[in-house]
Amino acid sequence: VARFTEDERWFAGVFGEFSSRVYGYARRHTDAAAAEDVAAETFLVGWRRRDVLPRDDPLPWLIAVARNVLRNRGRRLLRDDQLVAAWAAMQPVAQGGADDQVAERQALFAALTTLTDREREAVLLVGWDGLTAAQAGLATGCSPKAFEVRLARGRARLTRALADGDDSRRMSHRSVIHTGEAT
Amino acid sequence: VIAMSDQLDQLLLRHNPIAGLDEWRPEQRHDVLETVFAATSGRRQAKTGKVVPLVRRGWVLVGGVAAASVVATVASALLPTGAPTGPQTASAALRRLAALAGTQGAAIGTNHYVYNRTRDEQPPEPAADRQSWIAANGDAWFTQADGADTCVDFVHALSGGLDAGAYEDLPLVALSALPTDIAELTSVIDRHPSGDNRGVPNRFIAVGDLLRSSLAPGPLRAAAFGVLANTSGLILDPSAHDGLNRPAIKVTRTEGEWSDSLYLDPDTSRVLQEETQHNGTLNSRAIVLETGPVDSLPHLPQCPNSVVTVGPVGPNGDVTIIGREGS
Repeated sequence: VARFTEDERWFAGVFGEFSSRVYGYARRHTDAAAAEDVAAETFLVGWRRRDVLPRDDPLPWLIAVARNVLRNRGRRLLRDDQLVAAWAAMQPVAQGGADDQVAERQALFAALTTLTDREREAVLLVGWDGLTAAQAGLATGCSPKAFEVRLARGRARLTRALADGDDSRRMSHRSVIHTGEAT
Repeated sequence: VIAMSDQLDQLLLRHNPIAGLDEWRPEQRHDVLETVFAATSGRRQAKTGKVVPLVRRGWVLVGGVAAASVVATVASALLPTGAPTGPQTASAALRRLAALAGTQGAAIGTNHYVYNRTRDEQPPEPAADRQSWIAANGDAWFTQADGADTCVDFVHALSGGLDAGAYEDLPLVALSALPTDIAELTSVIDRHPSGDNRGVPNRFIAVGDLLRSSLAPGPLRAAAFGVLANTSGLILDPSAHDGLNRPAIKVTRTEGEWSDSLYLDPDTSRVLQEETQHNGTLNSRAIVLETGPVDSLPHLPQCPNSVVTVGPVGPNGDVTIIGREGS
């Protein structure tokens, strides 16, 4: 520890506190190896730009950088079908077990595909990444007011889609998940 | 509403795929931190493990600038582009726009759509033109980039939009049912807030949504301007210009470091541009390039309608993707 400068000690603290959050955010969008790279690159940017990295609440800033790194690595990964596929592939590391839980999870993933990209991002930054609405607004670069609107609409649309269940209209237009044997 | 909100939160929490992830082992993280320090100072070398790749200058700038713009803390006075007018003049200008709006019923039939083309800008990302077709029932089709091509993505109307405070997404029948009396419309807006927004901010959002909605009938748009005219704390610039240098009446509401502006066509009352600034710097804007009723959807391919097929559910609830079509 004595080897560290004051800046390095502070940044090591930031890294210790938030690296898992940044990794988790990246992991939600890509595979484990790429998520490590994204997290590492994010903190490299953070270290190089430590003059502007907020000392009081660095998480939104770090998520904003991770978001940009992800975008620069491959925007197509963020398409609906790929997101759903990626999440489905992550199920071994998620909680779950009983069939009804699996059905619930698949219904949730299918419902998430009915949201617009921005609405889904808003819902999941808060619901899964654990950011407050204010933090998520900063991370996505939009005003708190605008983020609240986006979040409210996303939640309303998600609630409605869950209530509608396996809507035949959605099946004809959006990504869906079928459970069963390969065809 | 609260119970439903809690249920949704719990549902999301139950199925959070990143909850409890411990894939990134502590020793790997330590190596990354060592490498981060070494990459900059040159006086410390990473011992083992993953080497942080050399960072391309491009994305460092993109990432850094984007984040810096997000967290900029320089407090600067937010000044309108022109001299603000007094409350009476501002109110008069909005009432004149209301009179214009009241004469323009743009309601569409069941087999027609409202077409919009906008240019969305959110620096440092490149500007993107976006087209949309809105049906009378609120269903919408949006263009999306699909590699080098463009496809159309479909989004259902948001049912229960008023409960979500989503005035922009209301179908024509719901918009037509909203009161055109200013006090009554104000009351409806106050009782159906958008997210956690309340009071003046919520009214400004709702009015912006209503004015942006191409489906809103003229009398409703007129009432929306009336709500705006009765809203305190707005700055009106009658001689502004939008991003295409079109003359505009600019209405701005400021809250802390953020300000939101509507640019309105002085001849038609239509929204020309919406803009958000942060600490006096452009954060994002959407410029309306074209709008009007059309009688058909575009001849563009539908965005890939992929079907993800997953295998049998395992004993721990795990599933495996075993096939995909259409992507």
